[in-house]
Parts: sequence; C-alpha cells; structure tokens
Amino acid sequence: MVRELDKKGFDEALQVKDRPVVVNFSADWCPYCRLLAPVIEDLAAEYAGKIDVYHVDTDEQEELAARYDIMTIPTVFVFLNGEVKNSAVNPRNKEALLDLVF
Amino acid sequence: MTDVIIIGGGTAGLTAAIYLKRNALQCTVLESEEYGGRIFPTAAIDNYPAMPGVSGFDYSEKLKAQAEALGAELFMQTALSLTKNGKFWQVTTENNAITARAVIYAAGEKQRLLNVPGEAEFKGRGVAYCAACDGAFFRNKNVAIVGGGDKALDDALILSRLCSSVHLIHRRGEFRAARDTVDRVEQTSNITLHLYKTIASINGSRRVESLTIKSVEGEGEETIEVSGVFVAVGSVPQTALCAKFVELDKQGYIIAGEDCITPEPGLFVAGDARQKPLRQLVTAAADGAVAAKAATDYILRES
Repeated sequence: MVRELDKKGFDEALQVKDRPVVVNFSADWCPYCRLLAPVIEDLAAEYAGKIDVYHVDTDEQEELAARYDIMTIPTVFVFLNGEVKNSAVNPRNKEALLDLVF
Repeated sequence: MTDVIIIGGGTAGLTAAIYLKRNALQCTVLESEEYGGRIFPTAAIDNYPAMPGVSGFDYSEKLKAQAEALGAELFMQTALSLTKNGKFWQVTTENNAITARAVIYAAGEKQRLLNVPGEAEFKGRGVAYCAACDGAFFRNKNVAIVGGGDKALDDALILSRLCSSVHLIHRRGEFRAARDTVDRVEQTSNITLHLYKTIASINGSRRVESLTIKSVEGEGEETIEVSGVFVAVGSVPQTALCAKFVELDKQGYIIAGEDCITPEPGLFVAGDARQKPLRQLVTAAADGAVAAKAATDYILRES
C-alpha cells in the first residue's frame, strides 16, 4: 500500500531504520505521475514489509517539495536511515525503481 | 514471426495497429517512451474531431486499450536495429528479435534539445521542457524560455502568470507563433524579449542559477539570473533507424506520399516522421489507417 504523507508524517516515516523508504513526489494533474502511480503501487504490494512506500502531493505539501528542491514531477526519493540514498525524475518502470532502492 | 512490426506507439502507430487487427493481421507495436506519443502530456486536446478537451493522458490510454482489445501485441521496448533479409524484416530491441513481413515506421519526432553546456546536467534541476507541467515549481521566480514558435510563446504566457519575470530568448527577429499569441506576449509587462540571441551556457552549482546568452554572431555575452530555463525549440524526426532504406528531406523527414508507401518493398511510413505539411493528431491517425491498408495490400499480394 502507498501511504499519503504530510509534513509531520514525513518526518516520522523517515525514522525507520531497517528498510528503505521510497517517497513519490507527484500531483494528480500530472500525466507522467498518473502513468507512474500504478508502477509505484505494484512495488509497494510486491515489497510489502521490505520497503515503505509513500506519496507526497506536491500541490498540498509545498514545503516538503521545496525542502527537497522538487522542480519537476514525478520525482522519486529513496531514503535509508533517514538519509537520501538516491533520487530520480520519472523512473518509468519497476526495474528503474529497484535500481534506485537496492 | 508476425505480419507487421509497427515502430512507434503514438497515434499513427496505434491507429495502424487497430486497422491491421481489423484486417485480421498480426502486429507488434514497439514504443520506447509513452503510448500516445507526443500528445501524451497535453492537458487538453481541442482540435481532434468530436473529442474537445480530452486530456492527452486519457486519449492515450483509450487508444492503447483499443489496440490491445483488438489483439495487437504492445511492447514497451526500443527498436534498436532494422534489417531486411530477403523478403523478411527483422527488428531487434533490448530483449527481443522480431521478424515480420512488413514494417510500419511511425517513430515520430522528439523534442529538440539546446545542446549547450549545463542543459543535461540541470535537467529536472531547473532545465524543463513543459511549462504547464513544471511552471508551478518556479512561482515568483525569474525564468527564461527559449524558442520562437507557438509552444515557446504559449509557455511564455503560462510562465508570466506564475513567475516574477520571464526572459524570452529567440535567435531571430520575428516569431513563428500565431499573430495573436505574439501580440499577447508583446503586451505582457513581465516578459522581456531577447531577440537575435542564443544560449551560451546554463550555469549553477546544484541547480540552475543563471543563463549566459550571446548574439547570433557569438558576441556580447550577457548573464541573466534565472532559476529555470524552459526549452521549446522545436522537434527532430526520429528517422535514423530506417535512413538506409528511404530518402530523407533536408530536415530528416522521410520522403513518402500520402499513400505512406516507401520505395523499399514492405516498408511503410506513418505519422510525424513522414514529410508532410501538417503534423496533428488527425493527420497521424489518417496516416496510420492508410499505412495499414498499404501494408495489408502488400502482404496479401506477396503471400
């Protein structure tokens, strides 16, 4: 399951120590985001318990988008132990996402 | 082995697939980016008959679903080589080699890049190609837009409503865009025109911080502080893969008539990659249907 994050939830989500945290920054009006959304959902379902997968709506969470310097969407960030491990603009498929995570 | 390989899953390619399947032929469509092609990111399509306002996303999803429902085989793979062995065509992709009786080449166009220092480095870090998509991230900032056609000027107007200032950089003295769009741009107080100028470099550390422009003669460098550089400098046809089989015009488009038939038996061309006076969804769809008819006639004649 892909969970929605606000600012408070975001800081809590990053506390996790034993697994990667994937955050998809996107918005519902963005066509590339709509194409990526089911790919992210599949990743969350397949790696449930192994990877935490979240969504940040960049329209709603402008402060989070600014904190990570988001300038195009979708942008996917991977965090490990609260630190940025990787990020990419529009990783189109599962292979590209897994490359970011592992 | 299939009857027809269609290279490109945009409007031309997927329309061809629909017509081929309705002619009871097998076909495989190869697409390397988004089904639907260049229309995909468009917010609202207003010039396709009977579908005013449909989004590029919805249009593309419907087109893909229609081709799939008829039994077309769709692969998200890049065609890497195209060869002919006797009467048969072979296309290789990153994980496939497909043989077919005929090929419909519908690879279309890609956005032209500036090819200046900093463009690739800052892509997604201030260099953007779609004002409607990314403009909101530059709210109340200074940005530049490069180009002189309809897209560049439309994007300049979109950005002028979001950003503090917009620098429009164009290498000529006049614009190719529609007259009323040019008038609106010229009347917009926060758009500054830089005519007869080209880009020397896009500069910054982690993200775009400035842009250096120069005259078309290469003189008088000037650096403008901007957070974003939007690029709208036209399109380039994707025809390298089939160049050895066909004749290309000066711009690189495939020379073939309205029948979509090339001089090479079994090779047909449809959509924006073909030399034509108007590149629109409706002309791409028409090409797809015509190319499918030509490919069907060819296969029936040759088998």
